[in-house]
Amino acid sequence: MSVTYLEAIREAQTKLLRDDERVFIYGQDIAGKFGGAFKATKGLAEKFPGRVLNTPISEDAMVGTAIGAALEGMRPIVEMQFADFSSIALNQILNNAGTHYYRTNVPVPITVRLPSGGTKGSGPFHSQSMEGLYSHYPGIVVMTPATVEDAYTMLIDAVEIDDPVIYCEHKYLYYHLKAEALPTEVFPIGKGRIVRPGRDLTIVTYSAMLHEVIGVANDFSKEGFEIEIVDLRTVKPLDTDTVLASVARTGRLLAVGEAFPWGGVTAEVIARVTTEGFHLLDAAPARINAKDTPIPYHPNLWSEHRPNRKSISAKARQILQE
Amino acid sequence: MPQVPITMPQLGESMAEATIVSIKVKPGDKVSADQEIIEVETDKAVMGVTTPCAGEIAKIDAEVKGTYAVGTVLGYVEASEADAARFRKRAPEQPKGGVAEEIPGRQEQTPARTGNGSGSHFQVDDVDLPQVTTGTEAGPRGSLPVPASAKGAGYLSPRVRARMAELQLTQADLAGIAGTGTAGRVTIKDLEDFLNSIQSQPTEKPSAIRTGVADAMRRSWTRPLATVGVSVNLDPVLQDHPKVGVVGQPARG
Repeated sequence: MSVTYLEAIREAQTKLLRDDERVFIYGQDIAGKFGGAFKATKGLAEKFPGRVLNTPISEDAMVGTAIGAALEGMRPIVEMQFADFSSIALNQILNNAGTHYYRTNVPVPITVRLPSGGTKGSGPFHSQSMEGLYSHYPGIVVMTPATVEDAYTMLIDAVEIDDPVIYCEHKYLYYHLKAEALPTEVFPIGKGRIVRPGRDLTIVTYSAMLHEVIGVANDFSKEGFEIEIVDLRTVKPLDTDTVLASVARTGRLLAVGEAFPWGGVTAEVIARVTTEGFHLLDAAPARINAKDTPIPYHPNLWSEHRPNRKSISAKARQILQE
Repeated sequence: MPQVPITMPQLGESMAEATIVSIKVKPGDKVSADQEIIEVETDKAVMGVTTPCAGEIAKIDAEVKGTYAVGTVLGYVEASEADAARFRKRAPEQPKGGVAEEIPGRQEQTPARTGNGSGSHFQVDDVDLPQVTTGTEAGPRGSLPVPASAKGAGYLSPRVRARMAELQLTQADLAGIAGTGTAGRVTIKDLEDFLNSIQSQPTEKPSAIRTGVADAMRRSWTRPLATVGVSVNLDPVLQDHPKVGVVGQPARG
């Protein structure tokens, strides 16, 4: 019996629909037999009639409706078909949902699910990782689960908290990542997790890149270097304490993210460590991101555009030898 | 006219610093080479600092009753081109302004007054001593000087510096540690391993002589080592050898 990352998301939504009558799911092509572009809601419309609804092709209207419903006491989950399309709803998310509590003392408990990240051939508008963009704005919680267990528990937590949540689920992990079973214990949101203890270098990462980094760490272990891996899990709020504690142990930092480089999650991690933990660093911190160009379509170009095991290893080796 | 620095000389084997007793010249005075111009008191005796060459006193930066470490520039003599050229070859070029200091916090030309008399033995205010740098020389003829690289042998990372500050260590204390970082720099791991290894050694309170010897040895690590060889013809000695008895052996013939 094994559970995929996608099934964990579906199970979490099933539980939410069952246990909380305020919850409904709102997205394109998610209702009926189709069950969504990635089948995240397969069977749910049948099981919970009237709670899984199709929307028009207007992300602006989708989020606007969800905000209105949330203000009326509902707990909507908005499924964006691809993270990239959510930029059409930026005004609703950043300006309406994000600021509402600050301006009126009334929270907007919406959860926007973003299928993020690239797969081979997905191209510039079906591959984006937008956690950096949403983290930039106040009032929004941004989650990036990297494991099957986190995909399950963090979605449930996302709906239960009163803040608007951007939940970045990674498309590649949907069917490629499997776990034995759904978790029984919950690791709290907002806390980073030490995936692998180490001594020589800290690599801070999140989402699908975690699995590339684990491979890199295993390779280096054969050479006698022990790399400590921190999975951020929630990108905003960022768990600075866990990251600083890790750098205190190792003295060296590499931040790895799949998003574009300018001002993203990896930049924020390094900014925090250099300002709050400068004396902990034995070598200059570094980061690896995708290149600062639109994401290519051709599979060969695409795999060069993003961080991969080779580029992460090369950078890690450079820092270790400094 | 070029200016030649007057530096505090090493007036005794274990001397680290000296206190100015009197200054016998003032700017404008004409001086000859090796003329005693400043009287200083070390912990052993009162001795004289002499001019490096003939010329005119340009300025004296040192003050009476001030204590200055060996190597500190005390003043300048305005000398002829020929005289100054001799010193230019010996003294290292000071990096021009705009080039980052390899070791931050080092004072440049102003004489660094050491603190109280005894405590400063463990502070080497090396102003004019040759710095071991890999990056402050000018690049190939015509190019910009290479800035002091963060990857040079003397680079101290923030972590290493913080640990050194915590333990009140100085650059001289790191001189005995083998560095495994880029260009042989001492990493935090090297430092911690070294501290652990000396922690495990038993200690006893050293005598005054041992402390003096240890201090001199520590200071010697900041100077380049040189071996001087002189060839000697022992034939006259060996010719006498059979006639004069060698200790332990009876005289022959």
